[in-house]
Amino acid sequence: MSRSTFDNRQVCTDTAPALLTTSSPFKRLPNELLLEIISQIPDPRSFLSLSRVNKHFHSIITNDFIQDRYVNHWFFTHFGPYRIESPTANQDPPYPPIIEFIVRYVHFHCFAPFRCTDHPSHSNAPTTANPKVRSGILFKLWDGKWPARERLAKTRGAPWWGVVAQVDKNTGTTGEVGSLLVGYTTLPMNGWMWFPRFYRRLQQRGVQFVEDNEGVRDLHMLKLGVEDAVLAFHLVEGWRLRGGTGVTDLSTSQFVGEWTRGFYDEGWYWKRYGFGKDRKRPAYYAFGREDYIRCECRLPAKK
Amino acid sequence: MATPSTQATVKLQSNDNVVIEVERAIAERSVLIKNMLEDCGEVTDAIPISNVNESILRKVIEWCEHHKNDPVAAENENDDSRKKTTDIDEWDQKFMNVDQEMLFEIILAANFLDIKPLLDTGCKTVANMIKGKSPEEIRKLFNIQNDFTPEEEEQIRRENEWAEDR
Repeated sequence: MSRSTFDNRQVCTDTAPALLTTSSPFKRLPNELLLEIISQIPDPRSFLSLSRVNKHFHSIITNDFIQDRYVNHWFFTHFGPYRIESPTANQDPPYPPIIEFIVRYVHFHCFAPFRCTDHPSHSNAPTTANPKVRSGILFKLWDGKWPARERLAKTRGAPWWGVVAQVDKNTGTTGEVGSLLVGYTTLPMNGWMWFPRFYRRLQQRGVQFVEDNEGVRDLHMLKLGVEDAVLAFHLVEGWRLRGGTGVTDLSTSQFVGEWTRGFYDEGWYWKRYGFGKDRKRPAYYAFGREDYIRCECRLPAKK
Repeated sequence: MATPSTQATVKLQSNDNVVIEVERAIAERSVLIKNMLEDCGEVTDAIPISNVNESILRKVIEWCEHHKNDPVAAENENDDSRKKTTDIDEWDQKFMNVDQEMLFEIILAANFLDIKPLLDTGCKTVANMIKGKSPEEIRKLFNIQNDFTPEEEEQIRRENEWAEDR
């Protein structure tokens, strides 16, 4: 029954020739093919800018269902083969899965109650809980003022030299949002302002979780949105530009090998995963480790 | 008893009544034709491909010839598995380097004939054309009318501002 016959497949194309010269080729595509094309757009920002083309595209791009579909597909094509569901994938991973991890981490920790406001490993900035930690730089609610690069370079620990922090107005404490922007992406200097806008957008959106029977609400179950795809896109671009090889075994928290040019430098890694006297995983670390048991990635061969 | 068909070639007839004879294995890259041949057994008449004209049909056959040895995706295979990679292989890139009209015709034909890998390649090609372009450039490229009022346009620009990098 599922097989097609010639007759019922003659759809949507019969009127095409008459429209050829005056009309957009998109008008001739049935919606299902348009969606197919849209879901293949490699750059999430281009996906979003399609909504500014005309009303039809706007209604498509702003549709929640289509955005979800796009985001799932985007993350799958960029990080999918290395997920645990397909351990036999023999393809080279397009991009390091740890980028997805970082994106999830940033998103997850943007919001109470998950946002840790006073754990020392979460922020290099001085906090009331930990006044001695003062190597980082504190930015008050995205005023866009960044300290001199030389000063930032002296701080240690974070993958880049500065930490983007947020001040909690109620408690006066700080929480790290992500040390991402300049060190890991290709965003230009004036692009630094992108992150505050992005962050505000994330906050508007809030945290959602994929439906789960057991009610697990951790990084793994976080529902990613188009914001996350944009952040991941910037990180991927940065990774591609600076290049890198490295092996990280997340099952044992062992950093094996070397990330060239410090995409994930070891200090940062240990700070995140080995913090504390006994180097045990901190209790708030809720990421399903089986998800990224062994991350391994190489830079795609240059053409 | 049905024996495996030994028919070596099939004839395909485009909508402008040109009959093209192709190897059966090549024609069977099209799931539509494959199913039809399975259902009907021997087909000696030309199979009408009513939505596709000669030049597009030849183009599609060219693709099928080049890809005739590719592994065919299993029928029950997860839909996602064919979309794993973001890249288009070099031969396909050249193959898709045609004018826009032709490109969209190929996509429509691939959809009609049910040739999923070709459909994917076509869609990826168009998606890559969209990549990195401003809305105005996209409109120009695909000859799309802007039906927003300036106010609406401004409002939508602000909606998306967070994603821009300046």
